[in-house]
Parts: sequence; structure tokens; C-alpha cells
Amino acid sequence: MNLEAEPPEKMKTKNSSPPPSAPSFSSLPEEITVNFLARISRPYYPLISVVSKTFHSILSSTELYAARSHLGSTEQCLYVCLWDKNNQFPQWFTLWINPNRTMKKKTTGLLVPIASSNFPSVSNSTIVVGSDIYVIGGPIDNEPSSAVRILDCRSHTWREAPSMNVARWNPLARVYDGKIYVMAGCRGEEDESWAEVFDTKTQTWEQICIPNTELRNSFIYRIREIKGKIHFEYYFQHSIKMYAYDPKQGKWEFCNGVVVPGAECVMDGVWYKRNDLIRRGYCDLQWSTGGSWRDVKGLESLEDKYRMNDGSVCAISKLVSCGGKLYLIWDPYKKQNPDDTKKIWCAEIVVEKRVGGEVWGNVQWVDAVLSVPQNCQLLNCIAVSV
Amino acid sequence: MSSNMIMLKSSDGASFEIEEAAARKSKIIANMIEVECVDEDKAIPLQNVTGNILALVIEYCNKHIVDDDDDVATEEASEEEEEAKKKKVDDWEAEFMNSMSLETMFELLLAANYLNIKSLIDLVCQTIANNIKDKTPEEVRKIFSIENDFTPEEEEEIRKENAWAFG
Repeated sequence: MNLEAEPPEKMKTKNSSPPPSAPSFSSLPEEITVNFLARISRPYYPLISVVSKTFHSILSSTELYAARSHLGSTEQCLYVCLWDKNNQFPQWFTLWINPNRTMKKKTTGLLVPIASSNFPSVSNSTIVVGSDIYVIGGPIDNEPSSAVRILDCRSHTWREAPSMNVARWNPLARVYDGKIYVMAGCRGEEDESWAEVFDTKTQTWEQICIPNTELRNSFIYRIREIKGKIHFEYYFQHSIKMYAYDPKQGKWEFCNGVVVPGAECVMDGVWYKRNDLIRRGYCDLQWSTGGSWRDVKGLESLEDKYRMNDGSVCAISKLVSCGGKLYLIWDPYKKQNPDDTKKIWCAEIVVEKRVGGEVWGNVQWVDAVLSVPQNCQLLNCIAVSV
Repeated sequence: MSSNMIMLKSSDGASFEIEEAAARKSKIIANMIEVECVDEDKAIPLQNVTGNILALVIEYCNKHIVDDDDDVATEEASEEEEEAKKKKVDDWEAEFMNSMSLETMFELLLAANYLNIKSLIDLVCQTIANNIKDKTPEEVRKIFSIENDFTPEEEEEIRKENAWAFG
């Protein structure tokens, strides 16, 4: 199994094959080839897969990804979903960051399309469990849906998950301890299960009873997992309230106050968000460890780029933490272009805590990562370990 | 700790004396010792390993046998000490691998596989993986003597699929 089959005669003449006496990597057991390839950083895979048929087939095998998780060599990769309103299905991409980007004239980052989901939902409700992305519910053709699709980010293949009990529209979802908690996004009728939970091990949905109808009828603007409890922040009668659900006990409790409003991502215990609604056309990043929000310093170069490249108050942007770095992806709003296209931009930022309690951002690169039709829209951006 | 010495002989005829405990890092040699097919007066011939590579293998085994002894002696070592020791081994391994070319690393990997030394296989795989990054597919084939078994059409197709990565 580890030995390469004797190639046909015609192929032997084509290649500058090594002398028969030279020991080849191909003489090693497949186990060692897997061990070696699993330790290589994923952005190199497209290049390495050209080396030989064995490398090519191992690089897309389940054994390889099992070895990566066994060896602890998994890496966080960014997955981005864009929706061209002229197409039926939204398109998912993976952000490929050129490992040799120090060389001149090379692309820095690029959104590489992956196999189509054939799933017409434009739901912005996505959850990562292991190496899988779950796309939950509708809208599909402007209607709620109970359908759920899973993208396996190792093999880039799609599969169907069992449907929810209730059709939903951009539901709120959080994962905790292998279970996906999905709430809201439904019509809010009395007999509907407002909240339900999916056990990824048993692949079954179960309804969750909620404490009162106030929650059901409120505008829930955020759901987060804090210290093992699922927190719901919602507006009710002009004030922000919060309920926490303890999944271990199956109990609800009312909480006072909001811990960190508006945070988009967390990295090393620090919350981050953009501040672009306050200063029109700017893209300040802010950080907090639970108290007030403070500016991330040193991002002037990013702000310039952001403004020059159509970042504006109307732009859709996403801030994600991935592999110990922050990524800001933005979909610029632009007046009609003659060629009817626009570019999706990405910035990679390394943050550093300095003495005196300041947080500084160091922009590693900013690049247009994809050219898309004008009516394409940024739907999701999510980090997955593979 | 006193130990039996055994002799190893490389494919190009060089002889090396090594402590039995160190040689046992190789499962193949350990097996030979178990079934008593090692004659104390005769060197064990290792037909697939040249002298310069065998010297590296022995250096690695000697270093790690000392570490194993330390583990026994200081069983109640604190976490800090454990960490310091691990760092020392890591530093030594980094230094050990640092001086090698990719070609030598590859020969060392073949030897580690032949002699069945799991920890050395892991170390060499990791180091090659870290150092292969700026190599083209052609260079990788050359270093590892891998035959390109794709037809030109097949290779072209894969390159086309991943054209962005070759830019």
C-alpha cells in the first residue's frame, strides 16, 4: 500500500525520474507520509498536492485531518459567504493567505470558492462545531425555513442535517458542549417552540421551554455563551434586559445589566468591535475586557485604506478573530461602477497589549481578496479549525 | 549506570560503539537484543544506513537516553523543573536539526523509519514540514526523489484548479 505502483512505460520516459537506486520518499510507509503532510501548514497544500498522486490523494483524505487533530497541528482558517442576488445559492469561500507573501508581485490574500451548497438559504445564522459549519434556517425566497446544512471544512463537502421543529429566519444560535441552541427567528405563535437544541452527537432536535412570553415577544439582539451559560440580551419596553439559560440544569435566570454590549469577537479574553457607526467613514477598532470601550491604537494606515477603498457607514464589514489575529473583511457600498463590479477587502491585524494598559494594532496586510458583481453581498464570516 | 556496549556497522563499513540502552531507542535493534541475535563481539550490520547518517542517529539516541535516565532519577521533579527540562531537550533538538540540509533530513527520516525510532520520525517530519515551505513542487520531488506520476494533462488540471496558489 505504501509502495507506488509501477508506472506505465510511457510515463517513465517523460519525467526526470530519479535513478532506481536512490531511496524515494515513496518507499516510506503511508503512515509516515501522513505524519509529515499533517504537519505542513494548510495554505501550502495546493502547491504540495502537485508533487505526486500519493501526496494529492493523502492531502484530501480523512486520515490526514485525523492526524492533524491528533498531532495538534490544526489551524484556524477563515470561511466567508457571499451572496450574489442574481444567483440562487450563496457561495462560500475560504481565505487563502499566501505563505510566501514576502516575495514581490504575489497575491497576499484571496477568497477561493468551494463547492456549492445547492442550499438557497441566505441565513446569516452560522455555527462552528469541530470542523463543521452549520447554516441554520432561512430565509429561503423570503420565507423562514427549518432546513439545516453542514459544510465539512476538511473535505469541503456539504451534507444535510435533520431539520428543526420550527421554520426560522436568521435565528440566533450558539454552541455549547456539543449542542447547538437555536432561538427566535420564528413567527412567535404560542404553540411554536421558540427555542430548541440540537445534539450533534445524537443528531436530534429537542424543544426548550422558556420562562415567559416576554422573551418570546422581545427583540433579541444578541446571544452569547458566558461561563457555560447561554445569555440572551433583548430590548423590552425601551430597556436592555438579559436572561441566562443554564443548559446543564435546564434552568433560566434573570440577569441584571449587559456585560459587553456590541462586541463582535473575543480573543485572549479581550472583546473587540468596530466603531464605524460613530465616526462616519472611519473604522476604529475598540477593545474591552468588560468595562468601557477603548480605542485600539496604531491603526491609522488601516483607516486610510478603509476610506480609500469605499469603506463607509453603508459598508458591511465583519470582524473575526482567527488563529490569534483579527481579520476585518469589508464589502464596500459603492455607487454604480461602469463595469458593475466591486472588490471585497480584507485586513489582517495583530494586536499587542502594551505597558500602561493600551492595546495596539499592527496591520500585517490589507488587500482586495475578491472581485465580485456589484449586487453581491457579504453574508457570513467565520473561523474554523481544520 | 553501567551499560553493555554494542557495535553497529553502517552500510559503508563504518563501526560505531553505542550503549545498549541508547541503541534500544531503535525498536529493530531492541528486538534483535531481545531474541539474542546480537553477538557481543560482532557489529550489527545496518545495510540501509550510511555512516554519516548513523552518526546522527547515535547522537540523537545518546542524548535521549540521558534524558530518560534523568526522568527515573527525579521522579518527583516539580512542574517547573519538568518544563525547564523539556525546554532543554527542545532546544537541543532544534540545534541538532538546524545544521542539516533538507537532503540530510530526508536521509535521517529514512534511517529513523528503517530503525523504527518513533520520536525521531516525528522530530524529522516536523522539521521538514517547517522547512519545505518555500519550495516548488519540482524542488520537493528532487529533494525526496519522488517520481512525478501524474500525466502532463493531469498535472496541468491540478495546477489550473489551484492556479491562484502558483501566482
